[in-house]
Amino acid sequence: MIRLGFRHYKNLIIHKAWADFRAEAERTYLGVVWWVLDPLINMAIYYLVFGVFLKMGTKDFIPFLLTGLVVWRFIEATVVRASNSILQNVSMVRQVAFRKIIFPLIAVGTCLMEYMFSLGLLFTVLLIYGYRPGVTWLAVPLLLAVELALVLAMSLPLAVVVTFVPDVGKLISQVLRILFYLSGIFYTTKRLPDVVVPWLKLNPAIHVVEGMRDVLMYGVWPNWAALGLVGLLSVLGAAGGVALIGRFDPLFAKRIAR
Amino acid sequence: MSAARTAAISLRHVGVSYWLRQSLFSRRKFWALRDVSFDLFEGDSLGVIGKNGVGKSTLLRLLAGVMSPDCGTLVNSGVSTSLLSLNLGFLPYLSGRENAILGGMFQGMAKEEISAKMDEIIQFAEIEEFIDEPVASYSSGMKARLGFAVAFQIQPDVLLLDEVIGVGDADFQRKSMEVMKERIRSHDTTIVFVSHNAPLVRELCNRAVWIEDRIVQTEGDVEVVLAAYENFLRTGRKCVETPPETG
Repeated sequence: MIRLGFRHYKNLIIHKAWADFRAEAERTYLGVVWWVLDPLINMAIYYLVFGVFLKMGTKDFIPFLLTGLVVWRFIEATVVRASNSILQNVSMVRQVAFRKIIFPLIAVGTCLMEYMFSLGLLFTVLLIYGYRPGVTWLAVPLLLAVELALVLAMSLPLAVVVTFVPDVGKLISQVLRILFYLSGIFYTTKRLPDVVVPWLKLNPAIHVVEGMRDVLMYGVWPNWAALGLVGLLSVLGAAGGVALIGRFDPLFAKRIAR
Repeated sequence: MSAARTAAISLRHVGVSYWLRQSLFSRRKFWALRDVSFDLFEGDSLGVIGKNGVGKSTLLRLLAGVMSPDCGTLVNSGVSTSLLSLNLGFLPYLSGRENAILGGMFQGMAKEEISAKMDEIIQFAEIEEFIDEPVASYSSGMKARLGFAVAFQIQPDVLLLDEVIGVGDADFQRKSMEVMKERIRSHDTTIVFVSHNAPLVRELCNRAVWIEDRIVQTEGDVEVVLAAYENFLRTGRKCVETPPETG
């Protein structure tokens, strides 16, 4: 057992997240360009399907879509990556006695760095479309904090479950796909029948997506009550996840790969 | 004499079990170690000997704090322990230098500490002109040398060694063996060395523990334990012989 202080863990998480981020960039010829290309290609596909073919487009459908896709992509990428992180590092877990929570946190860190790229792209597109920073843009960091808490609340407990029941990992991407369709990425809830809207609002991700559009595109403040509730529940969920990982900490190394 | 010393780590009737999954709904408990008792004293170089698959690696993980016992007690008097692990967390697309820092940090070293020792690491690993190249372009020997050079920088109170010494080509094996022996003989560090190689344990260790069938058969002076182990290998009987008279 080596006793590592908080400072060491913090440095390790940041350093490793940055290293993973860089390693991913080094893996391809275009490197970081992919973090701009990926959401753009995605957006082009959805624009074609929903905007052109199905004529579901709203005014300024491209910034509308891109805001939703960029916000959603962070949630999806992080949950998938962080949930599998302890399982993926099981060989390291068997070698050194450190807190396993670093693995999901490293995954979140790496995805956050990628998110900054996509956000940069989003702001650029918004500026091109004539949107100018207003006072409501000040709410962006708060929205990002709520989103981060939400992602942690989903990832941390899942990281424990997936380590012991890898089958759950397969389910995660399916569930995320359903959530994607329920998060108002390519449609506005204003056009939906009134009966379904309250049900859709049970999905925490939709509040982040709509909140981001409110502040960036429409110049209005987001739904603070809903966001506050999502934030609060997420913080509680994330704290539960931290406790869960701590409780299972000594058992991870015993997990035998099949 | 040894009774006056307090044990750095002491194990009493320690057992470790794993669950082996057999099918979706059935699983079986498997005891990787069943009854292990011994004391590790500061300054010891303790050899753990036994055939493959008797639970030696599990014992090292237990001492490293990676696992905790499922029965019995393990008391650590407050010493830090580390398993010498090569290429910990290495990322193939990053340079040797970056991987050295990463690997060191995963072993508990501060970034500045590793940076300060970087020249030493590069020189020892003999990869001067490649240190800023991605590790993916390294030969397996180069990778092993870098891994060993980084891992060897850690300075825990108790160093746990699995038979990792055979890394790289013959030349580097000799070189890594040399520094390893130096460290073991210096008695600054307490060492636990796991091996099935009796002559090597005899050369490096002053005390030994013999594990067979996941149970400690004998522990104590290296000569006594190895005599019992070698006798067992010859005859298949697990009896402990009295040490030969010396003098």
